[in-house]
Amino acid sequence: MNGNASTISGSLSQAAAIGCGLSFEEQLRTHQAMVLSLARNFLRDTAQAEELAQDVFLQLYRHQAAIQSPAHLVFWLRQVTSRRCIDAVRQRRPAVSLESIPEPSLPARPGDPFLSRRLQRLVAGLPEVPRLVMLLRYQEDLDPAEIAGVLELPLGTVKSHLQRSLVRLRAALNPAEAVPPRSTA
Amino acid sequence: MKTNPDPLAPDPELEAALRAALRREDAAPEFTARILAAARTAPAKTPWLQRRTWAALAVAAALVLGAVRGLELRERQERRAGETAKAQLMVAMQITNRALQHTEERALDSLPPLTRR
Repeated sequence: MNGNASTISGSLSQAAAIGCGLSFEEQLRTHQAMVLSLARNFLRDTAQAEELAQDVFLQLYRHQAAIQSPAHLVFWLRQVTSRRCIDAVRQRRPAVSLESIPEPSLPARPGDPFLSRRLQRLVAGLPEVPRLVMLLRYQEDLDPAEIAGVLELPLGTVKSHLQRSLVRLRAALNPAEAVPPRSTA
Repeated sequence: MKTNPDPLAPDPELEAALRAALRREDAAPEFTARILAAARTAPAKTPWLQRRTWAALAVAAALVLGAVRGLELRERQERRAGETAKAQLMVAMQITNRALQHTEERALDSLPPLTRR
C-alpha cells in the first residue's frame, strides 16, 4: 500500500460494518481483486473497469447496514458488479465480436499467455449474459446453481449458456471442429 | 487445443485454459487509495429503514405536539369563558343585591311609623 492510502485514517479503517465484522477498508482490500477482475474480464477496458469497480465499492460503502455476513457480502458484490457490467455494456456498442477476432497463429496450450489472451478476447466477444456466466464459472469458480443465484436466472438457462459458450469457444479455437451449418436445400 | 469430436463433451483442457485466462488479478495500490479517498468524502447513506423510522418518529412527535397544543388552547378558552361567566355572574349578583336593598328600603319607608322598631 502506498503512503496515500495508509494515511487515510479514522472512520473508514475503524468503523466495523454492521453484520459483516469487517471495516470498509478491509472489505475493499479483501474483495477488490474479485470485483475489478470481473469488471476487467467483462469489459476488456481497464479504465472503465476501475470506474465500475469504484462505483460498486462506493455503493457498498453507502449500504453497509444491508450486509448481513461475509458470505452475503461476496454474493452482494458479485451480483451488483454483474448488473453494473451489463448496464455498462448496454450503454455502449460492443467493442469486440466473436467473428471479428483473428485466428491464432501459434500453437496453444493451457497457461500459455497467447492462449490466455485469445480466450479473454473470445469470452469478451460473447453476448453479455453468457459472458457473465463464463466469468462467474471460470474466474470465480462458482457452480451453475450459485451462478443462477447471483444472476437470478433459471439453472437450466445457466447450464445452457455454459454449454453453448464452451462449444462456441472451442469452435473458434479449432475451426476444423465447427459443426457445419445445415443446408437449406 | 486438441481435436474433440463431440462438441458437447467435457473439455478439461479448455476449462483449465479458461481458468488460467480469467483468473483474478490484484488491483493496483492506487486503486485502493482512490476508492478509500472517494469513500471518505462520500456521505454514508442512512439506511432506508432507518430513514423511514426517523420520518415516522418526526411525524408522531409533530402529532403529539399538535395535540398537546390543541388541548392547551382548548383549556385556555374554557378557562377564559369560565372567568367571563364568573364576572358576569358577579355583576348580576351585585345588581340583584342593589335592587333588593333598594326594594327593602322602599318597603321600610312605606311602613307606618308604629310598626317601625
